[in-house]
Amino acid sequence: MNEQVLTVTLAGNPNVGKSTVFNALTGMHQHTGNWTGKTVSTACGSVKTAEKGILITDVPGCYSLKAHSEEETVARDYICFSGSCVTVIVCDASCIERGLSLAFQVMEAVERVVICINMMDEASSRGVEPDLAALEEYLAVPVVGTCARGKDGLDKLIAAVLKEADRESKNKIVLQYDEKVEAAISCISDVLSDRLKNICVSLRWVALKLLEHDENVLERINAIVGFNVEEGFAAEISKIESQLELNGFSTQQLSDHIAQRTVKAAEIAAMKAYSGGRKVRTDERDRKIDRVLTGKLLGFPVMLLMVLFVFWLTMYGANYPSQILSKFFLKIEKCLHATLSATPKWFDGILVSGVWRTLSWVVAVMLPPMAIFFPLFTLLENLGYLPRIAFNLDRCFKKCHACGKQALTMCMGIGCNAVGVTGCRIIDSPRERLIAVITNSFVPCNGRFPMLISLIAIFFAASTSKFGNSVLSALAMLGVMVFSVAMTLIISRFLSATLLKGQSSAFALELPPYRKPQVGKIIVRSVFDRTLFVLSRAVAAAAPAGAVIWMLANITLGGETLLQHSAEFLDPFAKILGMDGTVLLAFILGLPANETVVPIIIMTYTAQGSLSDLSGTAALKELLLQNGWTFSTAVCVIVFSLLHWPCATTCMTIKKETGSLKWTFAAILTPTLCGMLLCAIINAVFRIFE
Amino acid sequence: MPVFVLSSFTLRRCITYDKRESERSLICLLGERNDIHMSESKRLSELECGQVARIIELKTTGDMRRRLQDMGMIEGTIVECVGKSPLGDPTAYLVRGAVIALRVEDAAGVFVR
Repeated sequence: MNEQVLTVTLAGNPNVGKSTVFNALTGMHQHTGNWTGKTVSTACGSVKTAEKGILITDVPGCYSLKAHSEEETVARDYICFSGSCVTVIVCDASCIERGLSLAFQVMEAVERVVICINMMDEASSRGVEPDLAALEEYLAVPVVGTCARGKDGLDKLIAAVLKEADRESKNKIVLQYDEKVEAAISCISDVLSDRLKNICVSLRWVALKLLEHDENVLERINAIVGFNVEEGFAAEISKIESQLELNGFSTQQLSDHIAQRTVKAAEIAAMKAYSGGRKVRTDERDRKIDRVLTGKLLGFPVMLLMVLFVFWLTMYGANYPSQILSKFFLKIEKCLHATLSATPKWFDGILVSGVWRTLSWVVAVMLPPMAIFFPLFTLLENLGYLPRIAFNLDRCFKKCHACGKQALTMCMGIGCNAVGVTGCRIIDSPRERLIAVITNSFVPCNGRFPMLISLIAIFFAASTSKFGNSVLSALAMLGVMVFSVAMTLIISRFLSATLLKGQSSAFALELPPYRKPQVGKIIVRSVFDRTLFVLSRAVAAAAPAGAVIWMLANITLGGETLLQHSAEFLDPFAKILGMDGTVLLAFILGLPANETVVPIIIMTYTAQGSLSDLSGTAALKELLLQNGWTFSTAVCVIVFSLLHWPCATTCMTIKKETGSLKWTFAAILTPTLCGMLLCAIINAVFRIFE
Repeated sequence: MPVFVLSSFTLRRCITYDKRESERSLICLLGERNDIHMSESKRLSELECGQVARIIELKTTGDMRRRLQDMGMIEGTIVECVGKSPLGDPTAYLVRGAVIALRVEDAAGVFVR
């Protein structure tokens, strides 16, 4: 290996702390582009050593190289076909066996492997002490114990990777199958060796995949080598196959045989590691927690209370800093007006009344709730609670012929719908994945949260005490969440009866052990990776939007502004939906980013009436009431904000993930039609009772 | 018939399935668990919370079969039912040190004793 940069792939089972190893190796400043907790696409980072640079790629977790879901396909493709020099398999020290069964498969496919036994500290606290030297001797590949959280053993890991990359002769252990199967494999790889030269994966592995008829892999191989391997060698393969079948190995039996040998091999290897006597894993504590969190009586109440508490803390805690921030921004606005008083009126207007005011609204209203919500959410995620939500709710999703993992993608959608849509890769069945993609925008993302929070605070929290208000708001917010989950379920059921017909398919969800969260890291990561990321995106969308909207609000045509013209045009239709033209226009103009909906409403109203001081919810309330808002308007706006077209980023992500315009349109039309229908019904009901 | 393939691997070692070792593995796996019912075979879905059993046959087919195998569920694997979801389905099973939730109809394809 003379190259200056060494490429390394980081693979392993889910929940073994691969991303922690990755972050510890590459430093905290890496922007992975992945939401922590679940890696669904590859992430790249680099390490500098004295000799050379190392480029590390973190791939999604997988149980085997036989990919079932989209994320596992991503992982498999990267491990097998990226041509990286060394593959590091990360295993959980207290559950080595399953990690090793993946390791055996990877060793079969690629040449240089290092095994990293992570979370050694957790294992020793559970009374499991794997004997790494014995394991290394048995497998004949480097085995390194690490504790990525405490940054232990990472130097050794790097050293092992460097050494493995330079090693000449290979002596590693390779899975050996029944001799009849072995004969067939060697026959096929002999045939292959003439024509498959430029492939980085071992021919033995390709031969196995041909015998197994793993179409998913073969498609990839065909694309790489440039011809259809299966057809190209059809005569040879079918001959060998019929021979094999005569010997008692049909395709199904062969697949079983391979799976069994792999699991058994891992079992034996794990026994070497636990030679000092293996204790049964002591996870009584986890079972006890599970009995509460997923218990028959307590499961749901605890879940609701937990969500309620998160919302309450977010709203109660965000109230005060939000007001301070708005006052602060308003002061700067006045200063800006003063400094720009010499410039033309339009310049001052666009810059201060347009861009600055929109920006300050977005930051003041979004930053405090996000800075509280994201760390809390990340905390639940790090504790391992989110899969339990999926576990609790799966029955409901099954009834709707969907997958319980959809609950996980919905949780991701609370952060950002675009992320939630990408997260749908964890769902195995393409049909269920599409359902999850289409319904993901039913969950309010943080771009819509501030609007919901403000409207709830204005129209639902009527109590006189501040504490009472925050509890009422949190309850209303919980109601909104329950409504959006209910809508997701109803529409999922509807879709499985119409567009995406089918029964729910197989479901296997791992419930990872509860882990002590690292509070410090959670705060740092959730503030930097999520809050600032989401905020900067919102700001990037809000600044130009502010300028455009100010222009629309100030360019007059026949005595009325463009904004008023369009609002009036939309008004009759919007009235049916219980809103007014301005709100509907704001939703349409808010397509690039939902965060801008409220600033647009404010700007349109203020352009029409008196320019009031908008330093808090009280002023916003007054403005909305002045413009004819009632309780029914607020309900309709809330419902419509939950159920309308996804933002532009999400739409583009859906297009990318589904690869089809048809499904993108379905994902836009489904919530929009639902929202319009519901708003019209709600409005009609309110009209009757008025 | 050439047993070794000339691929990127120059030398290999084989895993031998020593009979003694397999026996040891079974004893090790059973460990201190004397509560395994050597009774009639039944479906994994029929296991009550807290019960332990050994898989005797996988009757599922296709993707789910391989998925279960990938998670270490093969003939002979010990599984323990560790809990049910509040709505009664899915159920969580302890398999080789990891907790995996399966739905009733998927667990019904696994026969245990």
